[in-house]
Amino acid sequence: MSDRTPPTIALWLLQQCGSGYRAESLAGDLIEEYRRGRSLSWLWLQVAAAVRVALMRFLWTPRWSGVLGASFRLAAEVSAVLALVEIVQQNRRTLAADEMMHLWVIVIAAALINLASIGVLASTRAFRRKPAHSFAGALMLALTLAFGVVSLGVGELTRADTARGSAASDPPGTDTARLDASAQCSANQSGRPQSNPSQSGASQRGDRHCRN
Amino acid sequence: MRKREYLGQLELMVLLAAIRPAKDAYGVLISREIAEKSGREVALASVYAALERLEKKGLVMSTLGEPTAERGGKARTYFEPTALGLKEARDAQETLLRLSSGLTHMGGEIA
Repeated sequence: MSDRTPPTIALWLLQQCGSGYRAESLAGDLIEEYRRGRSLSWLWLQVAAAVRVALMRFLWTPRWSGVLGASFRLAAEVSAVLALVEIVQQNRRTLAADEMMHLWVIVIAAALINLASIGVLASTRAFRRKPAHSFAGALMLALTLAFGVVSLGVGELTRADTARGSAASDPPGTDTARLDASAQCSANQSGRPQSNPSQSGASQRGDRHCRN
Repeated sequence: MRKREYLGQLELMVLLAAIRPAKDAYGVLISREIAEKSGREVALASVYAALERLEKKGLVMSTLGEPTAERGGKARTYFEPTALGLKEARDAQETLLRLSSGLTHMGGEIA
């Protein structure tokens, strides 16, 4: 058996991971094995495992698991609501009012609302039943959170894509084109007929700006 | 009637590995025994965490040894199963044997 000593920082970490004779025994076991020829990487893996066990024990105390659960649930609920708002806004930007009443838009919106509601309700029930060790609750919250993040991400990407497409289709002198479009929008809303057929392009742009 | 405590897989393996005639089971030996018999490396910290849970359930008891220089002046903690722990281990063994009888019907063999 050699007399090599483990790194000081590893021993310090082990001391932080526990208290009493159990932490001392663990540190003693690791020193013993290290001196018997175990590698430095083995030692660090063992220290990492000790830190993980200590961290899990700390986080799963009733007080901290309650705080974590509440924060996680709040984040999931907020993200689900934001995602739904984003989806509705996105539909308002890209679809006309009559298109929004299509059956498929309503079905998709209802499905998304149901998914978010089921996620939040299931996680709330699971946490209420067994707050400290609810894997199911954590899983449902993670799914709800993922749903929110993905929806927001897709919404942002679609918005960026729409903005890019809009910028690309606008000819040089965009300000003038926008003014034309605004004027056309006002004309459309007041119900005036179009006198010039060549204004149909501006009219289409105007419709899009009106919806925006 | 005492509420039956069910053991997790790691807890059961640690409890079985702690049953040694020489009563010299400590962290390293238990971890090594599990690695040899099951082929799974288990972190010492996980072994100690399982031992702590077993001790809380009254299935093992611990005694503190003498500090030695080869361990950097730190003492060993020896573990041995209590009577309740031995009973629990036997019950688990019988239950597993009964449950695994289905394997023989499927063409498997019980070691």
